[in-house]
Amino acid sequence: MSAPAVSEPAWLAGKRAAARERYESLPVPSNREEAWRYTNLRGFDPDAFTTEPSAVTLSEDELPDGVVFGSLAQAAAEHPELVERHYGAVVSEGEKFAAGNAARWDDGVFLHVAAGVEVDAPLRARLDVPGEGAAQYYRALIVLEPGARATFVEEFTSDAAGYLNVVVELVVGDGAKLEYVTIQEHEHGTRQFGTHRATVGRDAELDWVAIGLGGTRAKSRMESYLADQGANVKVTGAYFLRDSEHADYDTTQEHAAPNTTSDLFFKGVLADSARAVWRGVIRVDKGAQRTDAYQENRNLLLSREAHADSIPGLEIEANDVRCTHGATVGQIDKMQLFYLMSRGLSRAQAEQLIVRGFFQPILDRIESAEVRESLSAALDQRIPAA
Amino acid sequence: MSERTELTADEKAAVAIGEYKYGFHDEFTPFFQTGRGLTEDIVRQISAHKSEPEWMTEFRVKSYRHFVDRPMPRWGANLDVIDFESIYYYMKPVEEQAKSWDDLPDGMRETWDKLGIPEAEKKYLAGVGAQYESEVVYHNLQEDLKKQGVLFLDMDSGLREHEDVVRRYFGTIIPYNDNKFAALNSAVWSGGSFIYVPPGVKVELPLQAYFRINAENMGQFERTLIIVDKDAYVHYVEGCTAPIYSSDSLHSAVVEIHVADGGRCRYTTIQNWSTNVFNLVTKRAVAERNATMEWVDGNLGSQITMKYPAVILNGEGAHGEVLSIAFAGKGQHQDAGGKITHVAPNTSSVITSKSISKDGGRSSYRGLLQVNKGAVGSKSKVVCDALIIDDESRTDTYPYINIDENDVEIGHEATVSKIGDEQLFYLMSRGLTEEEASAMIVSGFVEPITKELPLEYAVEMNRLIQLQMEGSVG
Repeated sequence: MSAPAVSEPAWLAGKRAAARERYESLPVPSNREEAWRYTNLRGFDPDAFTTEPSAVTLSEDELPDGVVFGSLAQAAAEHPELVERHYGAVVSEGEKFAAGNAARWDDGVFLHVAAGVEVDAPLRARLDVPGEGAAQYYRALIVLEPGARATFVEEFTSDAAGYLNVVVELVVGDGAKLEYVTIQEHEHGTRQFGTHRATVGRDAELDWVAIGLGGTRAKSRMESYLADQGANVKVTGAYFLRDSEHADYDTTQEHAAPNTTSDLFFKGVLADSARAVWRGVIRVDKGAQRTDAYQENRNLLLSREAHADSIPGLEIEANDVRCTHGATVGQIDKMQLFYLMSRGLSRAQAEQLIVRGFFQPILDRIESAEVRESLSAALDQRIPAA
Repeated sequence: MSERTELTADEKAAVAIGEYKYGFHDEFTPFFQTGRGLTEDIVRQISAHKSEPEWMTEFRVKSYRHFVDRPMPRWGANLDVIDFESIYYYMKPVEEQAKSWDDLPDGMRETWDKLGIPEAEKKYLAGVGAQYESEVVYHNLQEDLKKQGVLFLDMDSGLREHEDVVRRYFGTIIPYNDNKFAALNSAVWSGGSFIYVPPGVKVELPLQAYFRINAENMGQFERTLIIVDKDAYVHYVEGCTAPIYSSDSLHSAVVEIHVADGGRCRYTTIQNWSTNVFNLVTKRAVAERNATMEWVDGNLGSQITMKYPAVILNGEGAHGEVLSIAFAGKGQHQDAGGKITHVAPNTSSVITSKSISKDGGRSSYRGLLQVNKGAVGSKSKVVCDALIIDDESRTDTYPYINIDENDVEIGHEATVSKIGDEQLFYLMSRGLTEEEASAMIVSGFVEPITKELPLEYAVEMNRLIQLQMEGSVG
């Protein structure tokens, strides 16, 4: 294990030691656990990988006053009061991979936006998993104080069979607005396991976009906690998997306060023998009246070997609510295909057009034009060329 | 028998305060019973007492061993409160099956009078197999059905009189090791129905059987096997009401149905066990080429129900349907749903679930929709609607969808809502009280399912909903 680049404050070293103990006491999850039923970890030993320093590249645009954006390890040393307040308070260490992250992370991202400060340009972080047999533990802590606004985009890439462990903690203060985009674009063979969790305050807004393009085994827990009245969360997911790629999305929308709204929409295209799992829960706690919650998952299967598991779920303990979910699985509509081909397109061109059309409603949900365009380009690259 | 007398007193008190509509209890003396608890020896005793063939004895013993080894399921409802040691696993009320109503012991006839069975029969029963304790004591099949070759017997008689048919199908759709409670049933089963409908025969009137648990801690493990031959049709109706008791009672049935090519079977259940019963049931049907299987499943009573009627669409063009209503009141957890497996091409299925939670009750829809590789052209639709009456109650929806084939159309939708203020206001402005208006809205909510019930059951279902809704508004 590599030593942290910057010397660590005592409170953090203490947390790390506790997490290490927790990590060592937990077994690697098995298929017998409900959450891991569809993602098999047999033969995967997280400790068999060599931990390498996280090589995170950050965007370097000029930032307004009141914004701290940089390395998490450095921030822990330079702004301990800002980091300590929220570090580890959003994502708990109760789960094997999250505990592993808390024990072993060596760097990542810290973003703090002071109350009322608005950052226009997206803040970006990029991490390349170094190579065969290497592990990286990436951790991000994003805090928007009341009334702040920002967009944070993180991108994970790799071109060899490595292992990436991710923990992202998002704190959206009262009346703040965060756009959060997380993209995984791995070459064949990479494993990515992570927990991303947000706490959303009174009248605050979170616009979350998750993109999955590749990875042999990936499982991401994506949880929103609507902590106070008027909180609003929109989660948009798109995945395009091929070969034997496997992605597992485990989403939670927890409404803990009245008058909160959440809207989740995941769409995926599966080619070859790819497999996608989406498992989502809307939880409405007692007393969270006038909750309005929605979740939907649609899969398009391009091959007979592809496989989709779609497991929506509702757990409702309040009565004055509107909760709806939907899930569909289907193939390319033969009538659409026929129509396009009768207009002179080749089969491949027609399929490409239909797949693009399938993702269009997802792209339409993304507010930032810059993010929308880069995602559109990334998807186009994946769609089999005509 | 001393403890039974005491409990009768308790229970009389319960009835006196009107806790449970059908919570009356008759005195009667069982002809034969095993003690409380279960051992391999008791399993052999049950089999010996029934003079069963060797293969059935061995099936029971093998099942018992699996039941003991199999851990308790760790999902769904909490079952740790079941005390397997305090249950009677077998009790036989009378020595011979009654030939007519007049031959029945007086106490039993009175019980059934209270439930209105003779009237129901007068009206339009095609045949009655009424289960009192563990044996079907009364069985009547109309002459014309007999002439058509339809067999409608209790399961024990079915095994005695048609051993070859029973042996061919018994335990093939739900194997003894399917789950812990199917294993328990396979070990100690008693009673239930055996139905065979020959090719091309369409049974016009529903076949009905009433099931009752009468003795406290009397586990009831009925076993039903229905075989619908080619192009035949039958509608079987199972209605349950149980007296109220002061300690928990276990009901764990197994129902296996085989629908041959072009056949159709509808199985309707109105489950209204008293709220101390654990109702843990395995029901599964196989539908062959162009066959149709429909489960209509209403769960109103019991403390805990775990029941997910299943259809395996095994032949091309087969169709499966599950219509489920669950009503969870105070202290109740209804964990119900449906399972459909598309095995063959061009098969279709629909699951419709309506659930209502009230007074702190919890109703969960748990379902599985599976499309196997090769089941091209499969179509399925799953719709779950939940209504929550007050802010103490809870509803969950867990619809699992596993798809291994791309040429399919699969859709799922679920909604959770409350009784709309506008709806209430409208009905009340027309002169209904809030309680009447609420009951009417709930009846309307479950209407897509009640309209599928035979008339008398639809009436009973609506009456039960009205009863459940009484006192629901301040």
